[in-house]
Amino acid sequence: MKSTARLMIIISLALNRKLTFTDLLTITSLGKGSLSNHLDKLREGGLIKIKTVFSPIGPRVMVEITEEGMSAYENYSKILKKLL
Amino acid sequence: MNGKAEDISEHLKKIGKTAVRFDFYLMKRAFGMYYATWAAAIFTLMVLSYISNIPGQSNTTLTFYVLLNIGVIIVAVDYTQIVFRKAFMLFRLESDLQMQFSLKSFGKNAGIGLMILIFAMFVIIGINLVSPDESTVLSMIILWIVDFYIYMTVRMSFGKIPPEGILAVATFAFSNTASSILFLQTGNNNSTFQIWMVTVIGWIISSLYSFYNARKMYSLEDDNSRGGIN
Repeated sequence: MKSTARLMIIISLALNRKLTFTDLLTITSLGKGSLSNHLDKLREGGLIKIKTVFSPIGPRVMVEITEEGMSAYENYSKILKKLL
Repeated sequence: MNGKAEDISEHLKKIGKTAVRFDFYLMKRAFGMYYATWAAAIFTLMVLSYISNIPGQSNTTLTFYVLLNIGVIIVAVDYTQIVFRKAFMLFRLESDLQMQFSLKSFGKNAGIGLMILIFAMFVIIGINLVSPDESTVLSMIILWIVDFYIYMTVRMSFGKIPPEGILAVATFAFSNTASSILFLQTGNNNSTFQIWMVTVIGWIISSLYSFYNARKMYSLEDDNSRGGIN
């Protein structure tokens, strides 16, 4: 994973399993367009799933980590253990 | 070559630490929901227990409260496993980053063990294997263990127990101990409702404080900590 933002997104999703687009905006402090681009790349790589869910406060974009995404996170975790 | 490897190592650690710092904000919010759902669950349980003790209640009323209670408890248990999973994952990452705070994880097995204990308690009490007094002592001990588990999970999530966590754990311990001792001494549970309301109020305050603190925690993060994200 070449981008810091994408790694941040994968870590946060691994910890929380799924997050809303708004949560990810808050965590990464990216703009909407930039975040969408990063999410598209992660989805193309099969690391996340994006779906629209309906809630009492209206439709929300939900981003969920896939098994492949969890494997990518586990690899990051292994690298950290080796480095420290 | 070594210099480059060190740079990559530092960069990976920095990303992890930034993710952990922002995840504290999400954890505060998650615990806020956790306290709120359990305050609702304890409240409906106490209302059910209070209503069932009033003579002449219609079956429809009781059935409504039983179903409401089951529904609220299912939501609370489901939310509990979500929050505790987040806590364990966050703790693991903090350990990988060596950010953890001299506290050893007691692992997911403790949660499974606790569920088995609670189930065993329901079976033992449900089939009248023990006297009412023994049931009270047994449930008090199990609820102490539950309280300790909550304490450890909150501590694991934030490194040290936050004020709202202390309030939640303390009010739960108070209601558990006071209601059990009162029942053992008087033989009736007339004051149980009032005593457990202390926990309900305590957990509502904890919930509100968690949400308030999550917002405050996030707004206090300076822009530098978000720098370098691209």
